Amino acid sequence: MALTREIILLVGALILCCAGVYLLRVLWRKQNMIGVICAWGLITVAAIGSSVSVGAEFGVAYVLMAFSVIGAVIVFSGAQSRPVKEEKNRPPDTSPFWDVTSKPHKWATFFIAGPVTGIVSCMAVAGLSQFLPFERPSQMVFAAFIYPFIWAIATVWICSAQRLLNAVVVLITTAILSTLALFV
Amino acid sequence: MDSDLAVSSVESTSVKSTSIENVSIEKKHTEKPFVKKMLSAHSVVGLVVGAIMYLICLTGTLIVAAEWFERWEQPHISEYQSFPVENISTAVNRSLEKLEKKPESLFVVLPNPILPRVHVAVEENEWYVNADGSLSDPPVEGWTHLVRELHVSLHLPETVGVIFVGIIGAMLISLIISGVLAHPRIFKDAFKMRWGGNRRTEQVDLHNRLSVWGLPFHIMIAVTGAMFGLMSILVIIASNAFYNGDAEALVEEIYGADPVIDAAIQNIDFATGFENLKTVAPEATPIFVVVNRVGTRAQNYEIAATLPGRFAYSEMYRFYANGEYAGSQGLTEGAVSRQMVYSIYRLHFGHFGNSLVRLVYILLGFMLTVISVTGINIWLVRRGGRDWINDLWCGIVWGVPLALCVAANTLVMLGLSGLPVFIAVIVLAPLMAVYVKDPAKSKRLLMSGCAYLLVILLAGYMVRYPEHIYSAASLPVNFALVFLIFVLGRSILRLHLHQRKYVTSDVQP
Repeated sequence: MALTREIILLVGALILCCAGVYLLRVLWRKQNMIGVICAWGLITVAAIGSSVSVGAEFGVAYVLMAFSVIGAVIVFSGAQSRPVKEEKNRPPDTSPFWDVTSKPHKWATFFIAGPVTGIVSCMAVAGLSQFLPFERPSQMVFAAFIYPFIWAIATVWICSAQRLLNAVVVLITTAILSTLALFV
Repeated sequence: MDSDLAVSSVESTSVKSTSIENVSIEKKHTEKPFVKKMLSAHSVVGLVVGAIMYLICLTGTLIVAAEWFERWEQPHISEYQSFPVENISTAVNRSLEKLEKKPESLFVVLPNPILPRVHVAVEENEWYVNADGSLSDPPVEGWTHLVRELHVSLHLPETVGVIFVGIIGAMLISLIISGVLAHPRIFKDAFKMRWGGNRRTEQVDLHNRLSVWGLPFHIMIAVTGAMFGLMSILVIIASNAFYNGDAEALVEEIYGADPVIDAAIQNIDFATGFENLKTVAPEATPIFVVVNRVGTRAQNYEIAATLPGRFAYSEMYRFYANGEYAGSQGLTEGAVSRQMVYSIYRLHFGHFGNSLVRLVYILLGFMLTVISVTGINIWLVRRGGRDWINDLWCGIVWGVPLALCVAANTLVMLGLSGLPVFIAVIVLAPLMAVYVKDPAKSKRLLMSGCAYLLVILLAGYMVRYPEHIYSAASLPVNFALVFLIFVLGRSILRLHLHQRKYVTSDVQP
């Protein structure tokens, strides 16, 4: 009986999620803030209902999966189909990020944004995590969780920087401070 | 994610239709330098990791269905949904008889609805187990193993490979961050999808729509994948800083230490342990049993069990040899950090819920694979023309599935090693494409190769296992093969019948 109730609740939640995404599609490019709030409200209620049914961990995951799949289905079912346009044959354009910089600059960017940033950001998160108000194992898990984000953000920053020198200075400073925090 | 915005900023003179659009163009101009920088970073990272990202995404998508492939590769292994507790002792004893010395640990993996088989793993040895507890064939290191190792470590030496794949996970996060920041309209255009027309617009729409709708999944996959790989770098640094270089001490603090037991040696009583588990955790579903230090005073066993609604891989319930309960490892009710670390496996591989979850993971994983291909396609279309890079990319995109098909035939039909042929095909396919200098033709050739090899694989399977074609172990994969053959056949036919009019743009995969 309880299982049936859970299944009904879960199916109901997924239907609500469908309705929410569909409402977003219907209201798309229309100035209807209340409708949009209602749509997101439906999706939130779906997440809550699903969590009540199968627990917060599975519940939220199910609704997010349903959200992605339904969204993709709606997008592709409503896709505009147009005749193929003929394109001019032109020689490959080698700008802006292919040949705008020298080869040494490209290699330096690769080396700094990749391995160097990886090691420095690892030391930085390990060094900073010890100041968190948790036990040591929790500090390390938090550091493991945050580490890829820090590396990713640093990589984006370095790859978008026009001058590598600033990035190198910041990385060296961070590495020195992290080493001090970790080993001194 | 390439940018509608970038398209508009370059071609803004042609965009003069409505006032709303003009307002958005003004906005775009004010945001241009930042957006341009983000787009540049997105392109640089995408170009550097694009091919590896594609390989990891494709193999990751396939590996979600690993258990189905394992069953399909050895359909003759006996399958059953329940395994009597008394037969665990039989399986353990039979395994110990085959070993020269007592092992440190012995695993008995119990049946579940997706993999209804029992197998014993001890040190380097593994055997499937018959319903009566006797040992059956060892699991083959077949196609599933090849694909799994490709995804986990790219067949590189283990630690190096895992770290490398973790780095790709971190780069996926950087692509997500730069992609979202480079596209101020990405959420506003969430439902805009245009097929046909301009090739670049089509690819941009496909890339951006799949990216935005799969965003929660992509973030989750990237973070959990990066955590798997990069944890070892962090452990090296943190253990040197805080544990005098003792990495094991750090790992034990995170995951919990092994139980310390000193009791008289006796036969292991699994039945009492399973009975006690019903009292301790009535909702727990046992998934495997670990017998530790068999035949010593420290011998004990643990029953790993999942709890409903929890991502934690399992809780480890510990028992003395006589079956008396000795406590749990606290993986589902201990420190939040421990629960988090123990939850990432199921979350990353979609090993929770029922088969429908796996199918959704396969769909979302395929979406991410398409995103990694369309990302490079957009860059190729933007630069225009055609040179060896277009040929090479086409060879990579269609060479990887071809290599997987060749490896499947080699492993499943011939029983030979699949890795050398996989590597050979993955090298030769791009070279062939560069030699042919016609990506459309290369694409057709490689697609046709995939389709023919799948037909051969299916036909060969029918000949080799005629009694298992419709069995529960084989049917899902056989059905998937038929579906793939149909889809590929249809695509090849369409390529032949409706040659697109692009001069330059159909050259991308």
